[in-house]
Amino acid sequence: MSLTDTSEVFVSAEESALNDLVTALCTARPHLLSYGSPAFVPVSDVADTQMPPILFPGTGGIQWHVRFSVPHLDLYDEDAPLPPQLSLGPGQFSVSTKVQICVDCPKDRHDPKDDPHDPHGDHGGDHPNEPDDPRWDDKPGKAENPVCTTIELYAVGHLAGTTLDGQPALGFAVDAVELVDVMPDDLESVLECLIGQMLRAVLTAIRVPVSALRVGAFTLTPTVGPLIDTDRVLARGNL
Amino acid sequence: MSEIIAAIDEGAANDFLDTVVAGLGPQSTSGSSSLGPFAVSYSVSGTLSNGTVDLIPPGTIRIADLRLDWSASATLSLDLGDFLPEIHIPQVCIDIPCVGTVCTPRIDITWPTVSVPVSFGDFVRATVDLGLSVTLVGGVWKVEGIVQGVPSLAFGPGTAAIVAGIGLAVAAAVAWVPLIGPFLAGLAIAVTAAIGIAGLTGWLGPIITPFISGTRFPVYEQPEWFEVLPATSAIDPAVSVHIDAVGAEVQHNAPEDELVLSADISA
Amino acid sequence: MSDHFDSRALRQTDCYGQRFMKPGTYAYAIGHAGTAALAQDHPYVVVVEGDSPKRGEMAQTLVTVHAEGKAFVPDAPKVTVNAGDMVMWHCPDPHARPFAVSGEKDFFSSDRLVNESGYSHAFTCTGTYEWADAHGSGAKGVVRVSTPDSSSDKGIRSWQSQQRQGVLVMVTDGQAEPAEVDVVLGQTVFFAIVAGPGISITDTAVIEAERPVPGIAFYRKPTRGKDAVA
Repeated sequence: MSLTDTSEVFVSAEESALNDLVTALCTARPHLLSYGSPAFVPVSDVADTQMPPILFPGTGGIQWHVRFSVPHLDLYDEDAPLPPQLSLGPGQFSVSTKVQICVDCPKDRHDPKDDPHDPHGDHGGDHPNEPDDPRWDDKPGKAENPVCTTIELYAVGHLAGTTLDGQPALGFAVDAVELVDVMPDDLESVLECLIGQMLRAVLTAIRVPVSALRVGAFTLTPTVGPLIDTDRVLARGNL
Repeated sequence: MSEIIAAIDEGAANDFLDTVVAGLGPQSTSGSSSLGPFAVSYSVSGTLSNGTVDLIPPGTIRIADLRLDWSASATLSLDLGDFLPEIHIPQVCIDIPCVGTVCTPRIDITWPTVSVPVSFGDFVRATVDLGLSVTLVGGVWKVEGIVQGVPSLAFGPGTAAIVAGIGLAVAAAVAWVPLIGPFLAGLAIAVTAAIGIAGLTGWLGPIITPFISGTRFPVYEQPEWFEVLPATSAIDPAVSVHIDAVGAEVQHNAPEDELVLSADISA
Repeated sequence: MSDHFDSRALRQTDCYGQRFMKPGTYAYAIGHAGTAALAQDHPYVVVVEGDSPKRGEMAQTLVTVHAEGKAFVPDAPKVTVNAGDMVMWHCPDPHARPFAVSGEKDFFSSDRLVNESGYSHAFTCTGTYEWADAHGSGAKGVVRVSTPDSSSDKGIRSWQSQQRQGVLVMVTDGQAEPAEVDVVLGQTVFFAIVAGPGISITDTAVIEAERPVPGIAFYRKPTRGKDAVA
C-alpha cells in the first residue's frame, strides 16, 4: 500500500522522534513539569510555575511542590514493560515518569535543635529527604523544612487532536494511572487519584504541533489522524 | 529506518511544484552577441510555469511541458549597406537661360549603420528531469531538484511572427535615412530573411536555456536546528530539535509513486 | 523624416556655384557654416583670366572640398578659369560638418548669394519644404518632394530617369520663379540667383529654429544712461 493511501500527503513520526520532541519541549520549558507554592517557587519562571499554598485552618497555608521528570512515551505496541494493572491497547500510548512531591514541615512549634533525639534536627547532617537542588536553600522565602518523596508513575492514554496557536497539534489524554510500590492499597488509590489528576493537567500543557512531526516538509491539512500506528504516529491529509 | 517520514503522491507533487515554480520569480540576463548578420546587445528575462509532474523511482522528478515565458529587449546594430544596393544621385545638368549649362556632381549615397531597438517575447516548453540533491550548508538542510542535462527547448508558434516583427521594427527605425523610402519594403524582407526563424531560435536558445537548466527547484529547506515552537514569553522560550539527517527519494509504493522525505532528529 | 537644407550650411547633397565675370585673383576661405565669414586668412584662390565672358559659352570647374580634421580643404588650392566661367564647390563626405565658402570680395560667398551665383540641393526625403531668405529679402518658395513608384522595374527606371533631370528656380530681386516646384525623391533643384542683395535659400524650419527663445537673452552690462548698473 502506498504511504499516502487515498490522501495526498503522509506524515509519520517514530516514537523515538516523538520522545525527542517531548524532551525538547520539557527541557526548554521545565516549568511545564514543576509546580509549587511560594516557599518552594517564589516566582514563576522558566523552571517553575508558582501556585497558591494549600489552605488549611491554623497552618497559614501548606507549602508544597510537585515536579515530574520528563515523561517517556511508548506507542502501541508495548516495548516498555508496564505494571500488571495496566495494558497497552491498539491506538494507545503509555507514559512513564517520576513525580517528586515535597511539603514544608515548619519547626516553629517544636525546635528539633533542642531535641537531640529528633531525627529532623539539624545536627550537621543532611536531611534524608531533602532534595539535592541547592536552590531550595538559596531562594528567599525558602521552605524551612522540606520533606519529599519520589514515586514512579505509569499511565496509559490516547492521542487527542488539539490546537496550538491555531495550528493542528497533538495532545495526550490519560486513561489510567498506576503507582508502583505504594502501600497500603488505600493509600495507593488515594495517591493515584491525586497524582493522576496532576498528570492529566501536566500532559494537557504538553502539546506537539503537527508541523513538527514533518519537520517542516511540505504542508499538511490532516484528514486522517494524527493516530497511533505501530510504534509511530501518523497522519494523512492534503497539501 | 528514519524517524520522520513525509511523503506526497504524484498529484500533490504536481500541486507542490506549482507553488515552488511560482515562487522562483523571474530570471534575467543581458549581454551581446550576433543575431544573424547583426551585432546585438540584449536583456532577456524569463518566468517559469510548472508543467506535468511524473515521479520516477528512485530519484527523478520529470516535469513535462515546463513553460518559460520570456521577453527580450535588444538593440540591433544594422549596417544598411549590407542589405541595400549602392546608389547615387546622378549628375544633373541644367540649362540656365542666357548663361549656359550648369552641372552638379554625382553624389554617392553611403548607407549608414543604424541601431534598432526591438522588443519581443514568446514562450518555450521543455521536458526536464530533476535529480534530487540533499545538502547541509551553513546550518541549513536543503533538498533541491536539479535539472539533469540540457533540455531541448520547443519554441512556440509566435517565433515566426517575432522575426517578421523585427523586420517591421527595422523598417520603422530607418525611415529617417535619406533616400531609404523606396527601399524600405525590400529592407524588411532582407532583414527577415537574414535572421530567419532558425537564426532567432539559434540565438535565443543559448540565452534562455540557462533559465531552465541552471534552475534549482527547492523541495525542502529548514535550519538544522528546527524550531518546533517559537518563543512566546520570557518563561516560554523557543523549542527546537536538531535535524541530524535528511533523505529524499522517489519510491514506488504500489500503486503509486511518491516523493518521500525522511529525517532523523534529536532533542 | 525631413531634409533641412540651407545654402549657408553646405552638405553632401548641396553645391555652391559662383560665376566670375571679371579677370583677377579672388582669394577665399572654406570654414564651418556660420563662422566662415569671420576668417582672417583666405588661403585659396580663384584666378580669372581672359577678357569679358562670351554669352552662352560658360565653362564650369568643380572644386571638391574635403574635411580634414577641423579644417576644410579644396582638392586644388588654386583654380584658374576664364572670365564668365563658373566654379562649383561640393563636399562628397556625408559625415563632414556643414561648411561655407567665403571670399574676400563681398560678391563671393555661399552665405549670401548674389548675382551670378547658385545653390543646388538634392532632396533625399519626401515632404513639402517651404524655403525663404534667412537674410530677409522676402524671397521664398515651396518644393514638394514625392515618393517615386518603386513597386515595379518600370517605376524604378522612371525614377532613375527623373533624378537625372534637374529643376531650375531663378531668383530675381526677391522673387522666385517658379515659386513652387514638384520633384521626386532624389531629384535636384538648382537655385540660380539672377539678381539680389545677397540672399540665402533656407528651409523655413531652419529659420524657425534660429529664432531666439523668448525669455532667454545674453546679459550685457549697461555702461551709461538710465540702465547703467550702479
